[in-house]
Amino acid sequence: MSNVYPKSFKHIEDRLKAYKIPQQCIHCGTCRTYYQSKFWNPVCPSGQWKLFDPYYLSGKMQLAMGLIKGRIKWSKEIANPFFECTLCGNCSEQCHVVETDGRRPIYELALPLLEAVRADAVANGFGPDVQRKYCEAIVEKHNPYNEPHEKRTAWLKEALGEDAFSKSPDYVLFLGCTSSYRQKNIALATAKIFQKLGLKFTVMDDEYCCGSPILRTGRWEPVADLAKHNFEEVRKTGAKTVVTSCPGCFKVWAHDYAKENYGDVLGIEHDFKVLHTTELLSALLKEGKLKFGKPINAKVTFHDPCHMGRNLGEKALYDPPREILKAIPGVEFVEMERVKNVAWCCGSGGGVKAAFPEFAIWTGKERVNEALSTGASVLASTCPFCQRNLDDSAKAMATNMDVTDVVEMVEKAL
Amino acid sequence: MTEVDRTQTGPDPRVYEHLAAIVGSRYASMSEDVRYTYSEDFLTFEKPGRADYVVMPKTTEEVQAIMRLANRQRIPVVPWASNLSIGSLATPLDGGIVIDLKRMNRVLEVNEDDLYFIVEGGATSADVVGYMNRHYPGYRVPVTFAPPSCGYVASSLLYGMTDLSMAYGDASFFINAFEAVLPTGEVIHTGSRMASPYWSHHSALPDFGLNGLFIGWTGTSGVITKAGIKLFVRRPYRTDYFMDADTVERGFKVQRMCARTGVVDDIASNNWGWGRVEAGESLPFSEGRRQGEPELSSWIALSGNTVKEIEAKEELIKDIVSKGGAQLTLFEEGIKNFCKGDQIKFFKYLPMQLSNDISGARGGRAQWVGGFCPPSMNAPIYRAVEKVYDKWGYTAEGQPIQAYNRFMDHGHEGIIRYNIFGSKDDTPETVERHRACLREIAQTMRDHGTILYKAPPVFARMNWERTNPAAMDIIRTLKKRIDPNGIMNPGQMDI
Repeated sequence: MSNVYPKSFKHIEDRLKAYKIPQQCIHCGTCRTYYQSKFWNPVCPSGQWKLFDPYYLSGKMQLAMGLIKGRIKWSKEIANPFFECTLCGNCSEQCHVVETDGRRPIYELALPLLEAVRADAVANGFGPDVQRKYCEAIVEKHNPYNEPHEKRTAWLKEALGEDAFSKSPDYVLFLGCTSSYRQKNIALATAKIFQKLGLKFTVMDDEYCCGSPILRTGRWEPVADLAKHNFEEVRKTGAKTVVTSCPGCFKVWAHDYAKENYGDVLGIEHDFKVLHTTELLSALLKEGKLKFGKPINAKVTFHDPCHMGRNLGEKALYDPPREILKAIPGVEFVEMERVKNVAWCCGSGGGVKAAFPEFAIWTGKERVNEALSTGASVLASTCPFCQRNLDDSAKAMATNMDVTDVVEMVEKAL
Repeated sequence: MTEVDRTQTGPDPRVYEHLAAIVGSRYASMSEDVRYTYSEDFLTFEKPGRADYVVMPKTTEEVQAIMRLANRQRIPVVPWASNLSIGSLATPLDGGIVIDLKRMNRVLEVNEDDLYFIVEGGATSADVVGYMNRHYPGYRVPVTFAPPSCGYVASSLLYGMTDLSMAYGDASFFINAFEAVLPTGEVIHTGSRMASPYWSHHSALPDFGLNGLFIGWTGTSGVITKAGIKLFVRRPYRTDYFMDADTVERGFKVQRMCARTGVVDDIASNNWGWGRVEAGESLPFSEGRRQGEPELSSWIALSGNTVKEIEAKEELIKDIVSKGGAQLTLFEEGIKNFCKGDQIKFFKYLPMQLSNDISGARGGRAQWVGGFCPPSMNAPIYRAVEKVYDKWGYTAEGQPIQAYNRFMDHGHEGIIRYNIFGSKDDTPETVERHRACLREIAQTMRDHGTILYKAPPVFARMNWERTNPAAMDIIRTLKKRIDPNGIMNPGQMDI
C-alpha cells in the first residue's frame, strides 16, 4: 500500500502490528469452515457467494500483503473483495494462527485490519460510490438515509406522548438511524417496554448517527464529531446509561469508542454505561421485574447479530436474548446449526446491503433457509439491520417465516 | 476463434469470452484480484507464476470444453483444488487457465453395500466429512492430516497421509476408480469404472493400472472430475495414545513393531523440533533440546468393534511400547504435557490439522521436502538430515531439524518430511538459502533411497536423474500420448 494506512490508522500498525496479520496467514483455508461442527458448515458469506479465492479471508490477506509489499497497486478490482464482504468476522473465529509474543495476530485482529484496509482503499480513491453518498448524508443530515434530521426521534415522542419520557432519566434510549427511519417498530417496541416497566428514560431530540456505517466502510473521519456531539447530548439529559436496541450502535458505543480501539485515534472518550436492550431486560428478568402476562405460542429460533456477538470477543452477548425468549410463555425455542460465535451472517453488514444488494439477499436467504430447517415459524433477532435483510430475504423466498425482533416479542408478551 | 498470440503475456479478452461462454461469466474471471491470488503460493519459497484466467466449471462437460479450447489454442491449464500441496504444485508457472474445481464439490453416491463413495474432483475434506457425518454417520472416510479446505481428491492423488494409513496405506491406496478429462478433452474412466458401472475396485482387467495415469502426476496429465473412494464402517470404540521416545531410533523401532501387529489404524510422529512448533512454541527456539525432552513424540490410534477387541489391542500395544523402552500415555493426558494453553484445543480435531502446525505465527512462510523411503531408513536419514540443518546454520539459529514421520500399510511404507520455516519478510538471499538447504536435504534423502513426493520442479528433477531409462521412456511416451501439446500444468514435474 502506498501509505500503508491513512495517518490516523497508524495506531493499528504500531500497536496491533497490523502488518504481521497478513504476513502470518498461510492460506490454509481454515477460515472457510466451521470446523468445530461435525457437519463442517461453511462460514464465509463473501467467499461462498463469489467462490473465487480473493473473497475468503486468506485471499484478502494475500491481497493486503501484495499491497503492503508493493506487488500490486490499488484498483477497483483489487478493492472489490474488501468491500463485497459483510465484515461478519466468522472467518477470524476459525483462524488458528497461534498466539505469539502476547498477540493473537489473525483471529482477533482480522476485522480491524480489514477495516483499515478499506480506509486505505478509500484514501486511494476506491470504494463503492453508494457508501460515499451515505457518508455525505451522515455529515449533512446525521443519518445515512438522507432523511430530515428533525424527523429522527420526534415521531416517537408523538407516538408515546411527552409524558412517557423522563426529565431526569436513568437511561438514554439511543435509537440509531435504522430504528429511527426504517425499522421504527423496534424503537417503538423498546420505548413501550420501558414505559410499561416504569423505567425512567428519554430519547435525544438531537441524536446523530453513531458513525458505525462509515467506520465499517473506511470513511472514519467524521466519526469523532458525531461521537462528541452525541456524548454532549447524553450529558445534557443527566443519564448515566445509554441503552440501544441496535447492535451496530451498541458495538460503536461499547467497543469502538473505547480508548484501546478507535477512541484514542479519534480523540474521544466517554464514561457512560452502555447496554444493549436485551442485556437490561435479561437483568430485569432475573430480578423479577420483567414478567410476561401473555403467551406467544410459536416455535422460535434466534439469529445472533455479528455486532453483539463474535465482534465483541469475550464480551459477546449470546445469552440475554435467549434467556428472554425462553422465558416468554408459549415459546418453543429451537437453535439453528450455526449459532453464537459461528452464526451465519444476516447479509447486511459492512455496507453490503447498500452496495451489493444481491449479495445481501443471497446471504439472508441462506440464513432464512437454516431457520426454516429448524421448523420454526418465527425468526427473532435483536438488530434492525438483521431484521430488515432477513425479512427482505424471507419475502424474496415467499416463505411465511415471521422475522421479528426480540423487543417486539417482549412488548407483545407483557 | 483465431489463434491466440502466445508470445504476449497476460490475458486475452477473446479467450476470456470463450471461457465465460462455457462456464458462465459469473464463474470466469480475468480480473486483477483473482489473477493475483491464484498466481502464487502464499506459503512456500517457490517463485510466483502467472494466472491469466480462472474458471470454475460445474460439470465434466464444461471441463471438456475448457480443455478442448486450451488444447486447440495451446494455452496452459492448471487444475486447482485448494493449493495446499505445500509444494506450489498449483502455481501456474507458464500462465494460462487455472481451473478452480470448487464448484465440483459434491459427494454423488454412497454405496453402503460395496463400501465406496463417489466424489467430485473439487470436494474438500470439509465437504466430504461434513456430508458423511450428516448423512452416513455409521461410516468413516480416510482423512488426511490437513486443513479442512484441503482438496480431498487432490490429496489422494498426492499420496496424502490419512488417519487410516497405517492399516491401508497412503491416500492413493483408497482410490478405486477415476473419471478424468484428458488435455485433449477426452473423458477417461479408470479402475473398475473402466469396464463396469461400479466404482468399487481396481480394474479386474490385466493390470493396466490406469489410476496411475493421474496419481503422483501433480496435475500434469488431466483433470479428475470424479473419484470412487473406499468407505469404512466406523468402529464404535476408539483409543488414542501419545507415545514418547528418548531417541528417534527407539521411537521408529517401536512404531514399526506396532505396525507389524496389524491392529493400529494410524501412527504419526514429530521430532522434538516440529513437535515444539505444533505445541505452539515460536521460532527461533531460545534453547536446544531440554533435559528429558523426548526426541520423538507419536500419536497412535486404535479402534475396535467391541470393548474386548479394543482392550486386547490396547494390551498388545502397551506391551510392545513397554518392551521397546518408550512411554505411552492416553492422548488426552499426553497432550497436556505436550503443549499448553489454547493450542491444546486444536488437537481434538485431528486428523483435521489446522494452520498451527505450519506455523503461520512464525513468519508465515514454510516449505517441506518429503518422500517415500524404505521403512528401515527413516532413522539413518534423520541423522543425516540433522547434519544438514547444522551445516546450514539453522540449528545454531534456533531452528533445529523439523521432522515428520509416518509408517503406513502395516509397516510396508515409510515416509519422511523435513521442514524449513521462514518469513514473508525474508530477503531474496535468505529465501535462496532456505531453498538451497531444502535441496541438500532432498539430495540427502535421495542418497538414502528416498523417492521424493509432491515435488516442485527442482525436487522432481532429482527423481528423474535416477529414474531407470526404460521407465523414464514409458513415462515420457505416456505424457506425449495424453498431453500432445504439453498444456497440462507445464513446468511442474519437469519430465
